[in-house]
Amino acid sequence: MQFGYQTRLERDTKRWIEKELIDADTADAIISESRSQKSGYSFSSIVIILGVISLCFAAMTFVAANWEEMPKIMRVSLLLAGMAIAYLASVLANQRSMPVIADAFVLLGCGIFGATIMLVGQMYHMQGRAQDAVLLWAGGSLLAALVLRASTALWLAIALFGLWMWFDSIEKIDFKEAQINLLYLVFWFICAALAWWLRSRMSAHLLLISIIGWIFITVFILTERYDTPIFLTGLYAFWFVAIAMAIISHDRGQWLRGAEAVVIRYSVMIIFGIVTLWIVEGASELARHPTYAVSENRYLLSMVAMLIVALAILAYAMKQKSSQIYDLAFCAIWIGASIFIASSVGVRIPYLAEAFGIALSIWFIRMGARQDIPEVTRMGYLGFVLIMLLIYFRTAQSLLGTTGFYLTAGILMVAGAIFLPKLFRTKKTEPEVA
Amino acid sequence: MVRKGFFAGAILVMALQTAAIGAMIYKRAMQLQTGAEVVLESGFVDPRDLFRGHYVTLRLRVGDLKFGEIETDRKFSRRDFVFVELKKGDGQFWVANKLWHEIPAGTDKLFIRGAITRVPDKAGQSYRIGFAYDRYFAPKKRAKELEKFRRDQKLGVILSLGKNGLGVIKGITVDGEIIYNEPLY
Repeated sequence: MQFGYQTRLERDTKRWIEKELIDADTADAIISESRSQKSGYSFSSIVIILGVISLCFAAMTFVAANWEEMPKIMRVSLLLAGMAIAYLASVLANQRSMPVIADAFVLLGCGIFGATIMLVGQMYHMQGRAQDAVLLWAGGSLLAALVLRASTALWLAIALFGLWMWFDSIEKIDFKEAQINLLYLVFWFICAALAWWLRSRMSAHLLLISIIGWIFITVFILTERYDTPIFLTGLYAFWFVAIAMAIISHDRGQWLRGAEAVVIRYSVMIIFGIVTLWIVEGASELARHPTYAVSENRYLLSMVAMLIVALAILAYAMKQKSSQIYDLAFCAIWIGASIFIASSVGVRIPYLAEAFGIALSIWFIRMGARQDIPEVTRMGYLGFVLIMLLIYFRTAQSLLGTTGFYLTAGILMVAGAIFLPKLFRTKKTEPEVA
Repeated sequence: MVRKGFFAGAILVMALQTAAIGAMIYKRAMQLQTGAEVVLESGFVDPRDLFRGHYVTLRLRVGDLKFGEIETDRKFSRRDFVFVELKKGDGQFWVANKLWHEIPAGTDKLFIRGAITRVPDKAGQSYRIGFAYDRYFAPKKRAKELEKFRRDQKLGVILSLGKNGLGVIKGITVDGEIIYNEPLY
């Protein structure tokens, strides 16, 4: 149970008693029930996991310290014995119904496995790419997560696959022939399926952070390519579908097992990142390549597919008489708008991407308020300011004077900051019409 | 809650992870045993930078070849894989004979695989080739010995090369004297 939730509940129950909505006994019953809900991970469990992470680092620094006297094969044997002890300890912990400790020992076993790979590579002068060693480590950790159903090993595997993707990308990022690392997506989906099966919330966070990293690295790899803006357009359309799916999931039965708000938060973050890059790179890139026929563009086709999915979700919501039709419709509208932008090949529309970014920011502010996800509202405000700044960098020396821009932007932002929240508060206090 | 099949799973994970480590060591030992031995000269950028941590930075001479002085099968681009055909030099070291995109069929010559890092476009410039053998880890005590290495002495890397151009480091020589000899295990 979150500290923030408990405090809010106590404050709310006090107010409800004052308004005579509930009596004091009911309030006490609600608060004591809430307090009885223990978190899955107690403080001592967290300390144990942190301790095991420290032991992993200890094992690795032990390797780095180069133990001089022992024969090589003895050193390897010692580490393999340490790995075996860690796994056997996890078996004992599992038999004693201590799943968190069992998971911690599985993590230790995987840590020692990685340390052994590093040691063998160093001791036997195995030359080669660092990413190959990381990939082997990630594969071993994924195996442990799958076979032993250990979330901790999955966290490590996700982090290592991300590291592998990073190593692989920095090797390729400086030349134009670099290919998008599609193999990473295969690993990502396997990890995602496993995270869903294990109901691992932490893994979901790590997966989302990793995919954001992949998207941005991919964009950098593609920067020099003529179809980058369209690629970005196609790519970000997917995240509107993700938002739509999270909204309908929350409304109809929590198919994502309570991770809906997280998906929306990360999707908004990714969309903002892509739109910002899109603005920086210039949507007008499209206009520079008029011979690039839209009908031949596979990214546009994927975008149309995303629009169909978004419309299908909207149709389902309407059939179910969902209260979320407004936001679901907007998800489809944004994808439709992006198809329009991508289709306008050869037609240079000034500040199209910037206008799109501002419109999106306003929707995020509103959606955050409607869905009661304050982070999305904050990101909306932040995005609004960011896009205004980007417009400033484009217009300061041309259309507008710097002072004029600051004046306009300032008035808009202050007005937005003061009036928009008030408008939402007013709307929220109005009684809902059935 | 006790997870069913955990013991068998732990044994399986342990066995497969151990097998992966064992395979790494065995593969390298086989390469050492069956590969063809060559000694390549290694230069160094700065003697003070000879050791960073406990490893020697290796810069194989066959990775720095003057444009016009080395034959190629066809034009190379940056990042292309390259197979350097080796021949026995006049002294203790093997030297580069020709650059190939692929190992030619039916040859019994020795090749070392690398990647082109710089392509020359005029005389005086060099082909720069990166190899996987860019460093050699040494124990602290041995590393101290190599600090006495002088500029006028010649550093050599003994490689055990396979038919595919890949290899492993078998040892290090200074002025033709073997100072490190890698054990199989």
